[in-house]
Amino acid sequence: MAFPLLAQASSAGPAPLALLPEIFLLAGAVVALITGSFLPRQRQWVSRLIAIAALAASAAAAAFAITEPDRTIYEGAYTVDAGTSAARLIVAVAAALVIALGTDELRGTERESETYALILLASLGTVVLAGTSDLLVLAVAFLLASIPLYALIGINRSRSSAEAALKTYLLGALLGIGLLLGVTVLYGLAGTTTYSRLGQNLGTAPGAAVAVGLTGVLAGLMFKAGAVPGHFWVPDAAQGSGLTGAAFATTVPKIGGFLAAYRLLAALPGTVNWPLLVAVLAALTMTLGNLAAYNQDDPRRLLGWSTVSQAGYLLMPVAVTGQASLALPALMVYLAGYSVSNLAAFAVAGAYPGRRTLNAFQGLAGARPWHAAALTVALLSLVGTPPTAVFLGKLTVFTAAWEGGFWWLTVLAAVNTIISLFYYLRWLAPAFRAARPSTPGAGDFPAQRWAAGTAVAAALLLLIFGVTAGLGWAVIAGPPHG
Amino acid sequence: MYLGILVLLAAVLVSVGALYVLSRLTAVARNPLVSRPFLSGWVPEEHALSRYHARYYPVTLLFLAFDVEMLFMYPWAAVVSRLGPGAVIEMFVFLGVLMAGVFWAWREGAFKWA
Repeated sequence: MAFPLLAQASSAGPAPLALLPEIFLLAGAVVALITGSFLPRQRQWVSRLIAIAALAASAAAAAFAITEPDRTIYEGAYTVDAGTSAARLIVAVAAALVIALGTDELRGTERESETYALILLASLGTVVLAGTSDLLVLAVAFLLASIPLYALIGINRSRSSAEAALKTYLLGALLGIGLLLGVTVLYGLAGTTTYSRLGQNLGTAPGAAVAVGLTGVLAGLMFKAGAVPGHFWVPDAAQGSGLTGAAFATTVPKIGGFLAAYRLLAALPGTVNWPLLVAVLAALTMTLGNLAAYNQDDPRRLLGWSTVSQAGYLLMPVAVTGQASLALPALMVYLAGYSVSNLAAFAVAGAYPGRRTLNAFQGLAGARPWHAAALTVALLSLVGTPPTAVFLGKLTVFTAAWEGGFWWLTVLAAVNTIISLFYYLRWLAPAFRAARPSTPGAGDFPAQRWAAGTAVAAALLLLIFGVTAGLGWAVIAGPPHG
Repeated sequence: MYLGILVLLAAVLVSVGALYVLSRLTAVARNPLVSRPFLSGWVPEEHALSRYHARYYPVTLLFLAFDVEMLFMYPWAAVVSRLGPGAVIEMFVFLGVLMAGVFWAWREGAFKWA
């Protein structure tokens, strides 16, 4: 037993050791910030090491706790189960990849250690969002995940990042108020904020009032997830902010948003037809994201809109919460695969910061075959091609939606997947063409070392994850049912 | 009649001009004050209409760092004796995190007011 104290702690009351992965994130943020403020600008790498160490410790603690039985702590306010463990692991790995791919951009800049502290704090907010089973903690986690995110998007203080930060902030403030309003309404109706009792008490409440409360909370969570109606900030953040902020904002906050929606919906009684609402949101999100991504010429903005469409696929298992046993494992597998794929694609874009159009990547395969291979793996994974990681995610997500009775959503998602192939190929095709004299920035491809290395490592991770998928799937989903 | 007026005008001009000449001749310095003494007799170092920056955002955030802990400490003080040492530890961890923020702001120079 790795943590004997974990087993001794009571199942309901305070259990600080069960929150060890979260504690590592918080301590890492504080130590990285204070250390950074005593270091000269050229030695901020110490602060980066502290952040990476905190993420590694958090992931290790989460991995050790993965075998613990499911339980709730702090009087039902926090759930420690397979979903929370998976979210802790995915967030730690994704945040570490973000720090690695942003090293070239951040090294020696004015706000390096602050960026690491903000990344850790936003990651902490996302993990708490994913693990909470109480409306009040949900509201606090939303703020903890959002406020560092605004700062991260605007931290390099360029005009475009200021615009992106302002858009994110205004939308986040609006939908955050929706979340607080929803929490208030649900609390007023149920007389409790704990999910386990929310279900019982809301069964007799008027359906319309429950629907109002639920819509408010879902609006806030859709902002975190980057899905309709809270998606406007995603493409701007992807294009306008620095590489680190863009890669983080399009990846990590989603993990908390989707899991929080899953947990809340699983607790609600059947008096409100929320599956249809979520399914319609999923359909709108994936279609809008795909259509908008189609004409983009900036690779980062293309990835931003692709992120929106991926949020649509990620909403599919949320729509069948409670109706398909595959819903939670499918969501977690998709989130894991998507996070690494998206970060690999951002890392390739960030390895060539001067090339901001798709055509500027002409000749990449000839000059830098490894980077072109990483880009291919990342983009094909985002499409969902075997043997990459998101293939398994898409397969399970489609199966879950079909099992839950949303056959039309599955068909629509399949059509959208085919459409998405075209715009990912719009980036891949120039990379495999020879460079022409008219290519913007033609010639050799001097790459940013850390970003390029992260891209190759993440692409390898995707292939390993995709190839060993069957084994991983058996571990996550448990013994086959039915 | 006009002669009287002209004599008076000449007398006025000559006496005023004589005052200027007297002032020039007896002055200690030619050009005593460049700007007006608005600082109660202190040597003026800045323009009377110069503005200074109150830096509202850092001040607001520092205020929050000090004030939010008060917000939580009032209800905490009412129940801390019943909850025991766990509540004391939690509160001081919370205060420690807030003080880390204040500490960072101090290192960034947020307390240099002028």
